Amino acid sequence: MEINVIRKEFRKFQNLQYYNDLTSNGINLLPFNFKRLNSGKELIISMVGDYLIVPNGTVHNLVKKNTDKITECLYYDLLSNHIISDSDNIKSLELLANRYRAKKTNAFNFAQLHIFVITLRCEHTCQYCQVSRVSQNKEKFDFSHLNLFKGINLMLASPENDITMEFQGGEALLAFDLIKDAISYTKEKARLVNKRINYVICTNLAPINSEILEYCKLEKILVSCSLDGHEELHNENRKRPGRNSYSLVEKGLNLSFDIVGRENVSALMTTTTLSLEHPIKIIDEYRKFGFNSVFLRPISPYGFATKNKNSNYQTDEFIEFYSKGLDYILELNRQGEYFKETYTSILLKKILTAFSENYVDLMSPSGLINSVIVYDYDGKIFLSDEARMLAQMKDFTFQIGTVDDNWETLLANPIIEKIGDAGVNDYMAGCSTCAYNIYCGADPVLHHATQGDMYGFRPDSSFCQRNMSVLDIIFNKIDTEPDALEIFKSWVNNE
Amino acid sequence: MVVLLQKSIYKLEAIRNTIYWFSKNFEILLSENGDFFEVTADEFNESDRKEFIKSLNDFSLREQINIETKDVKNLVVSKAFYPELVKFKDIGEFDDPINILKRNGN
Repeated sequence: MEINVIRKEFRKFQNLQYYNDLTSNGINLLPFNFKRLNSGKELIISMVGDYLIVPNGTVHNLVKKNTDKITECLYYDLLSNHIISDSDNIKSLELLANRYRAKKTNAFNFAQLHIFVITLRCEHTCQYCQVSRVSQNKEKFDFSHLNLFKGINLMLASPENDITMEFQGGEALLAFDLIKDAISYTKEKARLVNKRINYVICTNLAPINSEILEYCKLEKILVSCSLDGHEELHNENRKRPGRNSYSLVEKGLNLSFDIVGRENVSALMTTTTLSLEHPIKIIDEYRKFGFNSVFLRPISPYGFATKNKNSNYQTDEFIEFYSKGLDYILELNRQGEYFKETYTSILLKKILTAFSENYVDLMSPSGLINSVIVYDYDGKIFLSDEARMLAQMKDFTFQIGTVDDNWETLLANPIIEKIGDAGVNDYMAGCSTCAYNIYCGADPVLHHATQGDMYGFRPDSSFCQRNMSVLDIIFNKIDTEPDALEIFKSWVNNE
Repeated sequence: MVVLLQKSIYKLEAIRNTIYWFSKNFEILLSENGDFFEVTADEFNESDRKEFIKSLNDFSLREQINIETKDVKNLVVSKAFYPELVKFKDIGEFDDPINILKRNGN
């Protein structure tokens, strides 16, 4: 039969009996998992991350093949979301394989983000700072030109063609001349190997001025700054002589907006014990500066953060902070203001689209190597920024070598193989049976740092508790707040 | 407190997964006694026992789903990572969800 004739027939509605017969033909389960929501409903998630919220008892009925207890509408939802199949010839296998591959794209990539800790010097003395800060006058805490160029050569010898080169500190702008030399060298070499490089400078904005910003504009450099919240909180978190960190940020942000444009400036906050009381004030501060998102980011349990009283809070305290913040943000959206929370958006992209997000913490296989490489000021190479912070505590587990090595040597480091094991949540205890594992990651560095074991013990893991709680909050909102899903979709669609 | 679980009903994997999540707060021993698994948790009170059974029932469902679907899952993952190595039988077009092509002998 001609394919067009067949297609025409396919578009015809059949009589009702035809569909009744379909549901009675029996079903096969496809790989899925489930969780119970607060409303008593069940949340079913397929192996590629499609989800359905279904009545209590549905999973039991599916497992027992009680199809007569499943409504026709639900049956077709289950079918189209690849929870069940109505045929032994499972037609969706090829599709599922492609969808799974799309979700795991990062496994096929190499690091696109190359972080250069251009200097360890900083004029702030933030109590939670994850790196050991050193005073401004110690030139020995800058990258040497020789090491810097070796690091850039390595970056350009890596396989990805689109690379982000990020300058971090300490305070990166204290070594602005070095950044200029690095970019000049990179531009010249990248042209020869046809690589496209995006540049980012992370700064506390204190040293920023028109000259620096004009250069950023010329070289299309993105400016990423720290903004912890309102003035009192920001100054308390981010101490510096004169206690004027906030006013410098305010001045620096406005100058940056004027010169490089709002679209090229972003801000990040870190949650301290002092922040926990002020989710709404923090969000309002971001709105005040015209940002349309905030990343309610917990502190990383590394370096100085573990020794400071303002950094030691429990995960449930952070979740309460996050939850209040998210409620407020949703309310802003209901009133017509587009504003989103970044961590939620990263998860929503995984939940609501066929794709994933290159966010290191939420990757499985782990984003170490696949997503990020860090070149420290002294030429050491680490698997992530957190791995570098661990090294500040004399733990060099995740150092793979130095800029004197080549990729063959660096990637032969035994730690890479260990991460291959400990960085895949599909078969880790606690994760393999978790409904959320397709949205989540493994984070071997955090588990090594907090539990002394890269695999980690999930019931006691702050990483697990945080991600499970955040995902619970998201799905319970989708379940019980009628407009939440539409707002969430707008966050994903507007990216 | 000892929780007795009939072997013919509860899979060992489901029990182990349940114990894993309770082991943060409780010391739990698992042993066999004839047709039963014995879960011994001295610190369990009645409410803990109920929570344990509730969680066990969900892990039992998960285990049954796993048993039925693990081959498909392995096949999908293998195909995703080694598309050339795993070839699926040609089973028609994806726009044929209700077997029109098949019914017409294609």
